[in-house]
Amino acid sequence: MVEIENLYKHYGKFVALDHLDLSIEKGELFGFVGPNGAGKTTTMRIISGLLKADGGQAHIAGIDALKDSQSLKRKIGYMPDFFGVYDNLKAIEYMEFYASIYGITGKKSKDLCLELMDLVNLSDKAEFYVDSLSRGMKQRLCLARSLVHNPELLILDEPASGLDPRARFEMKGILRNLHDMGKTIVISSHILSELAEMCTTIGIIDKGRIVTKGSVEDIMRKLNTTNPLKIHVIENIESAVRVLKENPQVESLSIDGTDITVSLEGSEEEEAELLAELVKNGIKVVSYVRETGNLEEVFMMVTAKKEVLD
Amino acid sequence: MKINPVYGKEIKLRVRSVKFAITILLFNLALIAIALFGFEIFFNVSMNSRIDYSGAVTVYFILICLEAAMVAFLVPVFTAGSIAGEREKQTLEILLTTVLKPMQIVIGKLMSSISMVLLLVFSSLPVISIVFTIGGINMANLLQFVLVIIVISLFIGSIGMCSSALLKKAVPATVLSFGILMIVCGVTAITVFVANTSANMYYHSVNSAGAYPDVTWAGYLLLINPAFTMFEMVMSQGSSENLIQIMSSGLNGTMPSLFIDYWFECSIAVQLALTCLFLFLAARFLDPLRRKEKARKTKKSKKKKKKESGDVDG
Repeated sequence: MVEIENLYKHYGKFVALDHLDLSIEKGELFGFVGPNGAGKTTTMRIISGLLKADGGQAHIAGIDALKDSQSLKRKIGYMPDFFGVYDNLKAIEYMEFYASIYGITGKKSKDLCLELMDLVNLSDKAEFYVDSLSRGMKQRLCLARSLVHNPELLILDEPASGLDPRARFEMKGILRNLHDMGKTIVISSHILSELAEMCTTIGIIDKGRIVTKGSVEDIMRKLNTTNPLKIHVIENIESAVRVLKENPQVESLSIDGTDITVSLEGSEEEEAELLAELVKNGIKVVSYVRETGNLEEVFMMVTAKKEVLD
Repeated sequence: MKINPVYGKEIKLRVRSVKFAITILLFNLALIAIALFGFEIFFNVSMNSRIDYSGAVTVYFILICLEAAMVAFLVPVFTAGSIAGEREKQTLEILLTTVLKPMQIVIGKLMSSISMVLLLVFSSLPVISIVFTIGGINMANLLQFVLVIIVISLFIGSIGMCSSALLKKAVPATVLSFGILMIVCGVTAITVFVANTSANMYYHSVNSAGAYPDVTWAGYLLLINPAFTMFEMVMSQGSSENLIQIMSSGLNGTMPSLFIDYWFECSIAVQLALTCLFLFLAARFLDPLRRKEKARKTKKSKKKKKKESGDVDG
């Protein structure tokens, strides 16, 4: 659905996108994560036809996003991080205005708009003036607006920013529904835990480059290999320590009663081999688990690593 | 018929407000008061037994000039705030991600803005038609006035749209459009005056033996001046003398008969051509892809120039 290659954008001396490569499959709910100024919004604006790239290629649903912005706009629905609404327009009129842009008018337009407003739980607000709605309702209305031409790809820049927990929860539910309906969704957010719960794939961007990408589980697994291994044994702790020290993968260990914390940087297979070695030596292992981090920790780790490398 | 979506939405928003209905009412009341006051002065407060029926025509001219002034004042205010206002309200970005082309947005905004002003003008036609009770002005004159108002609205409106697309805020955009309007109206008229005065001074102080220098070129500048178009129309409706012929002689030359006989049509054509140019520019300024490209090129070229000058210095 989205194929970005070597995308480059700079503002004066500041490089916003540094030959960024990104691929998003059809039907994915893709979470775009990165610190401020990492290039999330720039990428989203380029693939929405709002900003010209300085180099590279971007194809959306087979359309060259950098050359054919008119065709591109039929395929995408975009929701910016900050947006305003028209005063003196009712919610249904707001929707009908955008429907009319795509040539949908009359009863067809009204039915479609009511259907979309129902999808975002706003059907009871159709006759309310837009400026009288709460921020959360406006966000949902804007989301419904972006669906008016049935786009294949939804690009949502920080859709949950500034929302209270309840409104965020509602937005999350709506996005899940849309994903279940088969929409491809690209969403950026700073609330990483929410992205982790919701997204099928996460891409971490830093300094204009994708640092890592994959399913949340994959990324966590990949990065958790550096986390300490917690082993709880019954008796025979000396033998356990001996076996662990003999293993070349073990870098250090500490003992707290019958709990051993091991620093082992290796694959899952090597982890399993170490467990087998312990069991083979007659050590009764009660628990053997890698400490898991959350997405925030992973994000901090990945971006910090990048900084060290730079 | 498919209506421009931006036009449809804007009209709905503007007409919905009670403010606009009140504006129409007050505007027409003011015009009626001026018309009745004029008629009172010309026909009832007579200092002698003679009644000058041409006074009705004078009232008509006063009314249409007031309307033209209103157009010149209101159209830049409405148009300059239209796109810049969308930008300020953060609604423009969403509009630009839809399939609407920048030119469609510009046309929709322009039409909705000038529609409001034209609605004011059309609503006042019955008041202006009061002059028909006396005579001196015919329907063709009134239609000519309507044509001028439409063209002036489009021309001034296109200046407002261009400023609005170029600048981010509504207030600077309004100031810029009034500035351009001042140049178009004021500077052209001043140029004609200065050219004429300089030619006469030159003749009297340096070259009194020869002919007056021909400065009719300055007169052509007035083709883009909507105030002069209005003035020329009023003069042609109220007098049998040809204003362009007089101006041409005053500028010590002779203009081709095309301009002398068809100045009104020529000025309308020139102003419509400029309207198209300003609208084209507005659409280009609005296009996010072209706009950024232009800014980037400007920066690049500035850097290049700086580098070149540095090389020379070095």
